[in-house]
Amino acid sequence: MNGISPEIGAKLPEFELDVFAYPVKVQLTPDVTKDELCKFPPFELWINTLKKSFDHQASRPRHPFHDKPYRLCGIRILSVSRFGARLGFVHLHADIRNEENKELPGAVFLRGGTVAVLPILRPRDSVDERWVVMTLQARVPAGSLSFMEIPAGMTDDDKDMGKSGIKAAQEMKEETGLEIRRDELIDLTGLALQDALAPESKHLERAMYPSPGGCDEFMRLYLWEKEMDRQEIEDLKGRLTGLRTQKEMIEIRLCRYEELWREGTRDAKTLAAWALYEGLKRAGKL
Amino acid sequence: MSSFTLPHSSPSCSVKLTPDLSQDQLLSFPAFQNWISTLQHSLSQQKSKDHAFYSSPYQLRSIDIQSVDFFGGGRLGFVKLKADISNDDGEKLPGSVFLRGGSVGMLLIIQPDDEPEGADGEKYVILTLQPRIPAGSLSMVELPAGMLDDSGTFSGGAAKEIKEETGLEVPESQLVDLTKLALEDVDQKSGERLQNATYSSPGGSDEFLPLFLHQRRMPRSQIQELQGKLTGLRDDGEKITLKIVPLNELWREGARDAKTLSALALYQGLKLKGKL
Repeated sequence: MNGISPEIGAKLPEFELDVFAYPVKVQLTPDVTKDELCKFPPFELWINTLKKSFDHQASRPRHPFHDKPYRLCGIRILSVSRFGARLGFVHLHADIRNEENKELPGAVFLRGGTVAVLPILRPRDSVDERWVVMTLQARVPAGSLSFMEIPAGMTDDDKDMGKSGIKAAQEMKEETGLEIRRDELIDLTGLALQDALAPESKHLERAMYPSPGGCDEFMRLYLWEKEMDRQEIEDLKGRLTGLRTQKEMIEIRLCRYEELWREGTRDAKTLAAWALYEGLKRAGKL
Repeated sequence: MSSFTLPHSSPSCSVKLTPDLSQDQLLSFPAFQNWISTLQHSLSQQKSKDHAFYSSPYQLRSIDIQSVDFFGGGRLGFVKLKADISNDDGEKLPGSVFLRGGSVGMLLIIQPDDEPEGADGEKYVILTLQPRIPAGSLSMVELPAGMLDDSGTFSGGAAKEIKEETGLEVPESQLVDLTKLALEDVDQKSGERLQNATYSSPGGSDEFLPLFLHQRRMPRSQIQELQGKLTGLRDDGEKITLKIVPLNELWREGARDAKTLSALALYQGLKLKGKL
């Protein structure tokens, strides 16, 4: 794109970002301002994370790109989507190259952090029996009107991990009707990555990245495991199963724990939560 | 801004393009073709009396292309669009889609040939390390991802690096399709025709990855040599490099990567069921 707005033939608005050691030109679309973009939490977080990664090139002599570091040469905002007035998604292209003009893939879909909960119910009268609360909902990007997943949602504040736990509890209540307390949630990704001290990735989120090749999304996976009287679970089953809240359009199913990985094969976060839960259990951390 | 009517759409669906995207380019974009046909088929299932939306079915009314991004060679890479999918009561489904198509993930396990085949104790997994700008990282640990070329062989940057550094090449005959195997006995009650693959983020993107397994036995000394070689490799400016981790540590080493955890889950699940 040559910086000319296709609609009116006028030059697209641009500004200089001063987060890096050098100015970075950012080209906007007519429907977003510099202020909105810079205050968009996912953009802020992405830029700061990128800067830290780029700084390592110079600060660490053994960094593979130390001799020929990559630079952020420019950013082009391609389009934005809003939830009401608030920015929701930003599609951009980052121009990243080194002195030999070697490029790094710069297609980026910015949407920020998400949370998911692995909700496991255990009947009190059994040692091993476990049920997982799953959601079924329309997922247009997957072309489905009935996609099975563990409960999940978006966070509004990416920087505060404490808030994402609260958000997880909120999502659970909205999607399943189950009341869960923040302190009943165990941060599986946080636990798994506790000892992940590799310097090149220490500054990344303690979260799972569903698609790091195209999207900034990072997802904190929480465990909620609750012992209940069998009758309570049966009642829940009756109450939740097949219930469709008009507003949320989410159907709830209970899935046997042993079947979770198969029922959830198409959902990366379901499989990931299961792998982390099993791994942490085996390591004695749960 | 030009627009056209989506072929074979009922009701008629108008598609609004951006100036840098032609009707032809969009209609021949495999990701778009696949997404549209999957969606249209799912929507058609509403005709069935026991479908949840039978009484007030949703319809694809229009598509608004918001932006596109091309790969270096001029090939269409990513499309951000908004689909208007609503019923006659005015209820809408979230229609923001980041369209990019699928790729494949490869769980590459190597084992010293002096170990019993079935034992997981001394198995190792080959992972990739590469810049992932969307994650803000110049060094992301991931499951090797790529494509299956026309002959069904694992190909792409990761495959190339793996072949260069380990000599391993993975033809179709030596691949086990984990996702297909896992879904074998699962009843697709909805009648939908989704991919036999893992969807990385179905709330925002069409991206799907069939996950494959390839296990190779080799002399213990060769594995040790590989470990030594790969540790020293990241110094020469290579964009993509490899890392070897014990299978038992994969859940922790790969905890940031959805594909790694997904492939591990399927591997462990299928082993439990005796299917591997």
